[in-house]
Amino acid sequence: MSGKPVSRREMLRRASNGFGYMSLAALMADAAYAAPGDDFRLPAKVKNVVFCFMPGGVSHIDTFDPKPKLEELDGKPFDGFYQVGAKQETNRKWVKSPWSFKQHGQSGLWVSELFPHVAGCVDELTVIRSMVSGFPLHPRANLLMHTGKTLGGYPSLGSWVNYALGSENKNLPGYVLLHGGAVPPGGLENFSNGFLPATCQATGMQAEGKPVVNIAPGDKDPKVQRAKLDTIALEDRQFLASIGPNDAVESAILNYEMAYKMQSVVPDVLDLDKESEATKKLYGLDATDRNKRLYGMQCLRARRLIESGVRFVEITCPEVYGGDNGTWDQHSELRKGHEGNALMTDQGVAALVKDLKSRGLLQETLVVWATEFGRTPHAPKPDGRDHHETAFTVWMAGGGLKPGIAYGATDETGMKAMENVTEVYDLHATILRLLGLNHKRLTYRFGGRDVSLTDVHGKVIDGVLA
Amino acid sequence: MLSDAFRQSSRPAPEAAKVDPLNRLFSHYPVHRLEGESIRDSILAVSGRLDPTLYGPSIQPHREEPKDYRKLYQGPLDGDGRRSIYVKVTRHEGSRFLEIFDFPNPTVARGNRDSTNVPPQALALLNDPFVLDQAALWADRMIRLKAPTAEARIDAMFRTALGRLPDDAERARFVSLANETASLHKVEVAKFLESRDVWKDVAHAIFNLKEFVYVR
Repeated sequence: MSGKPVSRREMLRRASNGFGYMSLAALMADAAYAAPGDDFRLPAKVKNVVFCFMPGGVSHIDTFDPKPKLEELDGKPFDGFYQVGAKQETNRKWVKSPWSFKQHGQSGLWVSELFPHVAGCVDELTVIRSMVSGFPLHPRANLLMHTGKTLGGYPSLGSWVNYALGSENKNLPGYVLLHGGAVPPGGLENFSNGFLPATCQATGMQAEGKPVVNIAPGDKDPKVQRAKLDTIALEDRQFLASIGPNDAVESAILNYEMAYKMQSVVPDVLDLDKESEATKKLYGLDATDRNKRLYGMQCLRARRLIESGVRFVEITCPEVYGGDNGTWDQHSELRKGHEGNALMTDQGVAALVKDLKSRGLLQETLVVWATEFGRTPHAPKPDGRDHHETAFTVWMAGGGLKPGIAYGATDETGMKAMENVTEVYDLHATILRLLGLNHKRLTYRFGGRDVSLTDVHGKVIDGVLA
Repeated sequence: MLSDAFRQSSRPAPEAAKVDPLNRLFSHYPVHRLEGESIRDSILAVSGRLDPTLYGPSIQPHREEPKDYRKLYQGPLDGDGRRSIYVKVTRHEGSRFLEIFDFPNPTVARGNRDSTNVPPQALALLNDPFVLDQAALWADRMIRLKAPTAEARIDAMFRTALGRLPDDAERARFVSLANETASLHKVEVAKFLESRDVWKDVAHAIFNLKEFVYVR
């Protein structure tokens, strides 16, 4: 960020905003500021987002999109093309799902036995079975799901949300990444603020050890630390004045005030001892499986963070079964990998939905469960599936949605999204819409263009809105 | 690094800003943050702890929780003063301090290093025991050098860490910080210049200046 040159226009714009440039929302309060395209606001349904990202590619046909046709085709040669442009492979066979499906709840939505806990709150879910990505490789598909672009360097969804809405709590970062130690392919670019102000980028908090390192003050006497910080702030402002407008340095200065407050606020928010035993149990914090326990803990932390006003929380999985490409990437050992990942995440995610519901928070929160693409209904080996970008499933739960519905459909084998085909851009447009943001009008002038999350694409999925 | 181009001011000349606002012709090197390794090495160099020896075996990073069974052995907090290039890189766990400043994940090829800007970086410089220890070492070194006045010591510290002298306002600001922490630590006026606590605080504040981690 610091190394990128800025244009004269950009320089002037930043200079005129200076320190107050925490978020557009802060600026909007200033009558002197007339932003181009400040008409991006719409009535909001939700205030916060928890994005449960399942890296590696969850198989749609083994989770939320049952395909009885595959029972019949199982073991027979697959004679289509693996993917567009790929060489015809002769050894691929259809593979049925190793897991059985059942209808659940009042809605009768289908969920496989991989997700018994999510099946228990299925009436809250809005399942989209007709997702397409267009990019069958992890880094690009991950970047598309996070930033709406495939090349990196662009702001992620959480950054856009924070840019548009600002933080509800000035003592906490507005975009928190609760991770299990693994960065998905595509790298930190997935969580980058791109060209948006650096304060919009994700702050990582890890599951194990101290959630945020160095959170305990190094000075025993808080007055000593305060004295240092006051001196540092004065000196830094003098430095900033001497170098001219510089977004990176301004943000680094602001980071110090935030860091100071985080020292007391973060341990307080993340302190799960304040939760009842019943709540801890709901999230599986008593589980014997370590990964499940840690994932459940992050889900509970996510609830506490959004309650404290963090706009956007993403929870990623640790890398347990997928090599380096995301833990759901089961080209082989599908049973072991998908079962392990489901065990790890199912209870925590379901607990989050149930807990939010019982606290009356689900109406103002959006939980998004997503992956970068699905998995093929055919494979060279019987216990594996490959990347599949022409059909996959995501679900959402929360305010403003039609709960307990399945939107869109794939063909009889799960090869292709057929009905109400939904692009990642459409998903993004819909998430922004629920937050009260018009995806076409929420733009930032960069490189001579008014860049938006969805670019020239994206339409709000009216069929899922209440 | 010795070239004229590298040593140009980060502020474009008015003419250059007019003709080439995007700096496509490299008339200046924009202000940028040091990489994690350089921040760590700078702290060691300023404190006097840096061991500039070339070559030799790598050194284990300091760990919050060493795990011998995973070959994640504990390393010294100050890395024995070795330059960051000698800090051992393993795929399981790298140096926490360097990772906070975007040391890349060694398991994935990266064409370009991230340069993030997040509160944990401020927390690292404020609270990491490595930084605090080096501030204490630097304070000891300054005390051994026996400055006649607090002003003279501030001048010496600015010159070491920032390569320039403070202006009057800056000098007064840091003398006032030294006085304030002296009173908070209940240090007698007569022993003020010999107090490790006081000069550690001043040293620590200097490590936390944006000017220390941003190159202009």
